[in-house]
Amino acid sequence: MRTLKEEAARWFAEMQHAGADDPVRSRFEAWLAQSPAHARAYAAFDELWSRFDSGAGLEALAAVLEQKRKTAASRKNTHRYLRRRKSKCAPD
Amino acid sequence: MNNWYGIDLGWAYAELFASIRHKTHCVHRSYDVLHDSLIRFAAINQSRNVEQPHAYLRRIVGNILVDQYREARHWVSMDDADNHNSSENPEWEEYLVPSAEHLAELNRRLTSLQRVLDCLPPRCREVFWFFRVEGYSQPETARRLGVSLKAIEYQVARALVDMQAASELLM
Repeated sequence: MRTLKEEAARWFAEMQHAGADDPVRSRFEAWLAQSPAHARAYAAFDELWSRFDSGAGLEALAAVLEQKRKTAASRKNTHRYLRRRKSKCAPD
Repeated sequence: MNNWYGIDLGWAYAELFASIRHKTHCVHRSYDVLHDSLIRFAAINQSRNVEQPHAYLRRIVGNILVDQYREARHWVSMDDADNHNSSENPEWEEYLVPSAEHLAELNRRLTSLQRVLDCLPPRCREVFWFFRVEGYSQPETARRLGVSLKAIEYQVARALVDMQAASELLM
């Protein structure tokens, strides 16, 4: 089951190469009109995409991605540490 | 100063720029296309040796123009786009030589682009590279990597979801 964000991202990817008269366009437009939440989710990806066009936008994006990677790595290390402790302290 | 990763900037800002302008009919859009192409070119050039830099840059410009044309045709009428046309703007000629600030901004974008790519999972990075850096369309990327178009769309969507999740985390 896809989340709304995943669905919006898939539409976004597909719309990058769909021709103007591709029938998939009308299905996309129907999806877009279905709910304001759809339109919002799609617009957020449009905004994200446009960050690639400016130095400041790309820099900010790089910074958050690196931050996220660091957080994920330290969380992983904590898990590993706890697991190791647990196995050491586990009573036989 | 007049050389950008093997590209003669005098040529890029005069000849190549003129040919882009001829196609977009808009000075501002032409600068966007040229700068985007220069960034993409530098990113490619750093990962492998490009033998004919000028021809390569032309191809990237071509790819970007095709993409933009396709989008513009659907989302705004070309007449609308022409209303932003500043061809009568006498100032545009001043930009013919890139300033130090321009080059610094291009370098900043290039560094950030590489940092962004480094954070993506390997498969995603490869797809994103072809699509967002080399300027191939997703169908072309699929052909080059020998996978289905759906698989490419999936990787692009995945990169987008990842990037957005990272942005939201810090907001």
